[in-house]
Amino acid sequence: MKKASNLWKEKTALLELKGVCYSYPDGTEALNNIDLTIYRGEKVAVIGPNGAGKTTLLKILDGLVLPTKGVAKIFGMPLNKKILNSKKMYNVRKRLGFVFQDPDVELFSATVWDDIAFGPLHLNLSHKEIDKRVEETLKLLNIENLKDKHPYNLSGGEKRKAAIAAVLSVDPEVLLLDEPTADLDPRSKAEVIDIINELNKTGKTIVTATQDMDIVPELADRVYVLNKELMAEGTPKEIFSDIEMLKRNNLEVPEVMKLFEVLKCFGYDYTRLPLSINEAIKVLTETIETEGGHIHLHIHEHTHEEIKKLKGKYNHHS
Amino acid sequence: MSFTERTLYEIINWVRDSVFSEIYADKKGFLQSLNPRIKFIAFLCLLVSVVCVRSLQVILFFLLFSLLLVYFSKIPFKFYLTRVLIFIPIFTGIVAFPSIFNIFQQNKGRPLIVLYNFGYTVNFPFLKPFSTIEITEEGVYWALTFVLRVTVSVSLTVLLILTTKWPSLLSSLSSIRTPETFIFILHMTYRYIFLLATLVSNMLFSRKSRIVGKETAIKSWKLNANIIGALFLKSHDMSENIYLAMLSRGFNGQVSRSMINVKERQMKEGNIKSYLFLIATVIFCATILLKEALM
Repeated sequence: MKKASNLWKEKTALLELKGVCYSYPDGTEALNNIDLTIYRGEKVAVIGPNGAGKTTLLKILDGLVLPTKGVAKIFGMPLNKKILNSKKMYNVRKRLGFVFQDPDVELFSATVWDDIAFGPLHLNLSHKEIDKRVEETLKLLNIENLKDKHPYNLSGGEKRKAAIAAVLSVDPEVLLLDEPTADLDPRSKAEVIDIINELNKTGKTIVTATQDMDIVPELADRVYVLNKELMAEGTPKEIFSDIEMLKRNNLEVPEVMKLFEVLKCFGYDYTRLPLSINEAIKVLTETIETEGGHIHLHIHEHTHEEIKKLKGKYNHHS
Repeated sequence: MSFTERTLYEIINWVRDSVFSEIYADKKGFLQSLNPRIKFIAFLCLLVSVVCVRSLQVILFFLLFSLLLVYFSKIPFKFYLTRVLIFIPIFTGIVAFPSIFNIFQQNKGRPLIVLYNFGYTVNFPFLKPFSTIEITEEGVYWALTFVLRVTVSVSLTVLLILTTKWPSLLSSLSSIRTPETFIFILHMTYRYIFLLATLVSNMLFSRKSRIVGKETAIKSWKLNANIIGALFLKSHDMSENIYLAMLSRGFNGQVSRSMINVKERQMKEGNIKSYLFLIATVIFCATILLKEALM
């Protein structure tokens, strides 16, 4: 198998939206004129404030709802009402996995085992194969101890992992995740991020909708900013450099990035601005190794002024 | 807390404690060790017999039998008796109460206590003409049998539910050829009814925390109506999303048989004991029913 990075370079478009609009039945506009493409093997994040239409966008990408205007192509096939209700759709949905934001929606069976078996059961697999798939998925997510539990008796983190497992057992090529880290404690959050990155390494295409800016650099190579319309597109670095645009859309930059800008005011002259903890560790190591083992911080004549400016830039009140 | 709130709260807690946490289904008692399918059939026999039996003494005998099962299944008597043997008789008692009076009876019975004698025949719409209001012997006997029969039936059903995990119970249903769609709906009901109950209790609490001062009855009803409306919208939203999640994972509108039976392998334990129990139950029920028929 080719490595994910190579696959991405070939740039096979899997999901494509062209001029997509969506209005709710009551006439409220959720999406307006969206052009977006998801390529094979990449990690994409869709960020946007509350009510920006992220969930609706994912539902369209999953072929669950039709756009009111525009074209949605899934694996090269343009969707229409006829196809959406035909048997062709089963084969399409088999290749797509959608993890809903609310795990209670995803876990509708009596036990976690049954939930993970739900997808494979509809693939016409033999009992033995279903058993195998479920066991493999349980192992992959390290939740073998949960298999006989009722979803009601699970904690938030366990529920989220079970929900991801329930979708993964179908073995989709593209994984659409709606707020995968919402309501999770820090440890579960880190675990879920690791799982998603592992899946991407095995060749799965990942689309994450989120408003948690801290996870974006770790979960995405490419970012779309959505606020009913597409506001921007680019690498996390490009997106987080445009603070004015983020502010206009009620978004902000990762905390790590802010901290390093504060450090700059105290005289730390880094080579590049880190977006995540992992990058920060790299940057710090590099600096320390090249600057003779230490970083010198001090208060100079402009420090207070610069900090004040910085606070204004990020809308932080003192 | 008001009466409604307290009742709701108690119901939610009880269901959570007994059914959802499956504490009693996890205990190592007699009924828990049986194969759920065979246990289910045995209980079905017991239930049918209780409903068919006419004599009060025999029904009492069934009650004794169910209490023995409670004891051997390590379910605390205090918990069981208060839930089953106090509330159920009170509620069925209210239903059965009018039937002890002669004016609501079809046939004439032996009077036990005469409450009022009119001295002349009274004609009242929908009732047979009567000249006295009295409590009859047959009426009391019938009411007692009715209350006891309901109590024993409920007691047996509760016992079955308490000692069996829900998935196994549904699997047993499917083994006696219940339509799969019906079982699937039961599955979903079980899964979401508690979520709904928790939602209601949270809404009530959040409302309570915002109420300052006394609330008039009309205002309280209006707020309750709002809660019901919000709940309806929320559950509608959620059901739509659940359907989409099912679609997304390949659901094609067909409830397959294998879907409910996936956990069959769990059910092949404790066979000999279960069959013995089933045979014993069938003999027990058959003897009693035969004896009744011959008497």
